[in-house]
Amino acid sequence: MASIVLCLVLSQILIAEIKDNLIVNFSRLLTNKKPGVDSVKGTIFYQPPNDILIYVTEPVNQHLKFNDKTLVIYYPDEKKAFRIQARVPFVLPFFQAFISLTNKNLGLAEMGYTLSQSEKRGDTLITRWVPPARIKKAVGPIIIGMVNDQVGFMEMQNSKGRTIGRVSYSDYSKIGNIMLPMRVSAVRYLGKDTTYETVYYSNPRLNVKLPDEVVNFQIPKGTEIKEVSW
Amino acid sequence: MKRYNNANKAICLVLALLLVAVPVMAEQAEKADITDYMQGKMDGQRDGKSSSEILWLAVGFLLGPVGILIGYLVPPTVPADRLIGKSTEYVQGYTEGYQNKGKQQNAIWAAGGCLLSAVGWCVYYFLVIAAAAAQTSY
Repeated sequence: MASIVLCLVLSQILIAEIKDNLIVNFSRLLTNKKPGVDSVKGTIFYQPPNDILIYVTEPVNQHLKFNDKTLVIYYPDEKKAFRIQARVPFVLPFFQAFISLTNKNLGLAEMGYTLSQSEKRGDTLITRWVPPARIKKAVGPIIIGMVNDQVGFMEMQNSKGRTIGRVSYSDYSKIGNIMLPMRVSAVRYLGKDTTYETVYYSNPRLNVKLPDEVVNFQIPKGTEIKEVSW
Repeated sequence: MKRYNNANKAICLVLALLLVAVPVMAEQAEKADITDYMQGKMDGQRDGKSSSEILWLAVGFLLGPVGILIGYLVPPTVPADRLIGKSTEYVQGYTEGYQNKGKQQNAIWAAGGCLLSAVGWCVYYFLVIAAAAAQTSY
């Protein structure tokens, strides 16, 4: 339940704040109950407001196209694909946590959150945001820590005040007119499982022309496609 | 003659090794595929358990047997980031495991809600009967 709530809230955080195309390389490390670390590398192509295409290069050659409620997963080497139609939009928490920072309060005010508390601890400004009444029973407050006018961390609590997730941002880099963190680390407490995720971003390019094969992404003819509906 | 015999021996050795190695490699490749699919299925089943139990309890409570059916037929949403960087076999297993387990869980919770609703109605029925009986006795 906590992960669903976390995803739903993160999905509302303004993705449309970046109004230009964005291309960025990423390296994602994920640790959970399983032994070892899952490592994924690739490139993200983002076309506002909702289109995301990911070219994964390691550990598999994989293309993922997200568009609202449709997810296409294509494997060029195997000529296989999955096309998944869902009833709710797909979310990519790790990427949305990255680009949401163009809005200083992460768009919380626009979502109906209200600032309930603000204090300075050393060089960190801590603000506490409480959710609107319609979701108050499902989610708790969100706490944001800012250093030098940049978001250092965001912590989400459930309605009982228990922390269910925390995202830390570091290694800020100026891209165009905006500052984006090149390192995003997240901890998610999901029942008995805890996941640790760190994403390193590199070579970000804003307001660039996306390649035609990205803009007009289509599954090539002759691909074995599995249709899935949720 | 000696050189010819040595070359023959070398060729025979390589062929013998290939005869053994190829089936072993094929079996390992097959095992890897099976492992990936099974891992995906287990992960999907595990993640499918964490769907919204309270919601389905409410559906079963309000809709009764229809709620149980809906719980089984309505598939949960798959968290997309789980599938990034995963093989085709893993994605296949994961989506099947998540969908089936989630539907099972939904149906079970909806059944629980339905049972609660039935108990509630029984209690209400007996209270009404008791009240009616008390009135007639006056």
